[in-house]
Amino acid sequence: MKGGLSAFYAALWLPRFHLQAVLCRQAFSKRWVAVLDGDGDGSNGEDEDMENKGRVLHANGRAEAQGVVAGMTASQALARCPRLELLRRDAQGERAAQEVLLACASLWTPDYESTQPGLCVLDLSRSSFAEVKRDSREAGQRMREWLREKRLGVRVGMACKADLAILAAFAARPVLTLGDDAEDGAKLLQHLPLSVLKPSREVMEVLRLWGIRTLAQLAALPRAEMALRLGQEGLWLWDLCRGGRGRLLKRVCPVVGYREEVELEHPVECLEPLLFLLRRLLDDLCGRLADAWLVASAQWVQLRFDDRTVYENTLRVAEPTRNAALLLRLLHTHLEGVSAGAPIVAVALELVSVRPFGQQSGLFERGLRDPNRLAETLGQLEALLGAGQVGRVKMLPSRRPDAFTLVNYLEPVAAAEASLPGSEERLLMSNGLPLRRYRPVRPVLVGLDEGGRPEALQVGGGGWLKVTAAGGPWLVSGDWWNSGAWEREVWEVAVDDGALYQLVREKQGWVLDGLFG
Amino acid sequence: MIPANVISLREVLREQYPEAHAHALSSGGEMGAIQTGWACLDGMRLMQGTVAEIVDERGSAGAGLLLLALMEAERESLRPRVALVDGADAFDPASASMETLNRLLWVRCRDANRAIRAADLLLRDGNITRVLLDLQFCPAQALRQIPAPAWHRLRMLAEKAGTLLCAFTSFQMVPCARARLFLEETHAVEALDGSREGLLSELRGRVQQRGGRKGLERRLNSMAEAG
Repeated sequence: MKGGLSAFYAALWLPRFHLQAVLCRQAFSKRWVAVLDGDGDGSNGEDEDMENKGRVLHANGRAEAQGVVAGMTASQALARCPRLELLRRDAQGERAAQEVLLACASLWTPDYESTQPGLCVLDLSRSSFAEVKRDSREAGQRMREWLREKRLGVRVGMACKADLAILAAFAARPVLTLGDDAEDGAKLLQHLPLSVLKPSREVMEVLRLWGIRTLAQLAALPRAEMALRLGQEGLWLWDLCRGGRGRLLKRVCPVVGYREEVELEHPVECLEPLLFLLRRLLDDLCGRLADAWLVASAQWVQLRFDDRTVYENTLRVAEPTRNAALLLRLLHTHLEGVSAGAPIVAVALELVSVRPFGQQSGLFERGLRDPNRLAETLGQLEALLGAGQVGRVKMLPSRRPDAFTLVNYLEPVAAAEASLPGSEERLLMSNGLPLRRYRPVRPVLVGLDEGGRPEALQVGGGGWLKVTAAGGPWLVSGDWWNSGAWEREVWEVAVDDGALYQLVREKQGWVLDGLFG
Repeated sequence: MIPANVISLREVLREQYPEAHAHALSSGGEMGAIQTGWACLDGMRLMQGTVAEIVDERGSAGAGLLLLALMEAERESLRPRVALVDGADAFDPASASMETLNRLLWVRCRDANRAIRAADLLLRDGNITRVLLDLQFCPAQALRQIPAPAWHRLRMLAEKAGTLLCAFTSFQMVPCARARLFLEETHAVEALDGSREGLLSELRGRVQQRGGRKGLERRLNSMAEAG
């Protein structure tokens, strides 16, 4: 086929797909092999009752030469070929083989459909590969070679219509290219059996009674009569055997995931071998990110242990990157703080991909020199001090003391949080000496005067301190509507050693809440 | 010779963004010293890449006020990234403004030893330009057990990272502090109702400087006299 085509399709067909899917994953000693239908459970020839179950789906060439054909029972097949090795379908192998087929298609064009198991159609109309335009047979041979390396045998058909390309693939030995002329194609396809069109059982039976065995015989029938007698399906079959109508492909849009899972043959007990493994996974995932011009904004790691427990965590990457060494350092820092009661038996790692972005901080804000290094340092600080001890303060809507939580320092501040509080609240915060809290609060003995005001304090078994001035009390309470109700009587006292304390009476008694200064 | 158009561009920028040039415009400040606008802190001549110490023996002399002032630093030309290494987990977020909290990295420690290690990590990191180490509520016995080499290591790390490390203590304990401020005057109960700006502007203390340009000049003069 020479260049200048407006539409050009290629079909890749794996003959004896189910058999190939089994054979490409395993090596078999016997030369006569057949695969039986039924659910693919992955067991191969070990089932003693296999002979009594299922029918032959596909047999290899040697077995077919011995008379084994599709549709035979296992007993019939063995009767014709006693040395025949019967295999079960391998569902996992079939999925893998189909993926390999689609991977081959994706090397040539992004426009391809997974038509059925063992068959895919490529739209090469806009392919930039010069050899497709120049010599389609050469392109077909290259597709075959690529799949042969994956232990899969393929037939390639090329034509100006998708359905015609499929028929060409069925007729190919091993590559067949049909010209623009549908009549020319139909001549080449005249010997194809009717079964390649996969008609319904009823229609197939009618056509068989009519004596129609091949596409050429079907194509010779008048179209209008086919429509009258066999309805819509008959019309569709007639059009198919004449090369089909122009149609759009149901494009495969693979969901790109940057995830790797590894089941370990030998359980891992310490960090070094785990890091070695993680580095390998990260190299692979970062390479895939680089191919798509993406970077990782977070990494999710899951460790499964021998005692069936699972540990998982998501580590945010401060500055999205695809630097494997840097991502590994973040993981290393985090995993140093993780301990487990059993060895690791499986590892899963997933990178959350984002597009690289540029961001300028405020004109009068100093940016971070190395956000990823700070993220690592924050991880080290958490390992030193415990989780939740390092971060940015986020206030909670409550008047209760210590109503706050710590959030990740590197997370951007939400607009609602960044807004300044009202003028009244701002005035309160900018007034007086700040308080520094005792955590936990310190129990204190308090001597009261006749009016019930504190006049002396005794902290931690020391001497009594005289209260020189006292402000208060202020009664504060909250959450009275639920079980977490609290109530406090707050005093501000100056003692004779010069310190200013916040003194609080709670249900349990008097405590020193903090020191002003 | 700077071209005329560059000079005029600089003038336009200075007029348009006076905040960015506040440092250059500030008068009386030592070259490179941090200008906070509060006499007490500016008198210490705090420099990036050095260690400073603020000593408040009684706890109510204003160390907390200065801690917040160094976090907020609204009068500086560029707002720094601030970390508070809280040796005794004493910081009360309700005392600070939301704007300050949004820029603050709070490291809550339970003992002095971990606080020193946390400060070490932050100084090695180099991303945070101001580290405030609050050891005031830590037990004196634990503070005395901090070896002097640990402080010298922090000084070298601060110097390398160009970070200001300011320690808040209840007694003089940082051997390599370039600037030290002793707060001695305690506040009365009435101070709890005063404005924070007023309290900060009235805050006084005894400043002790070590090294620096004057120290170097003194040493050179003494060497010249001896020679």
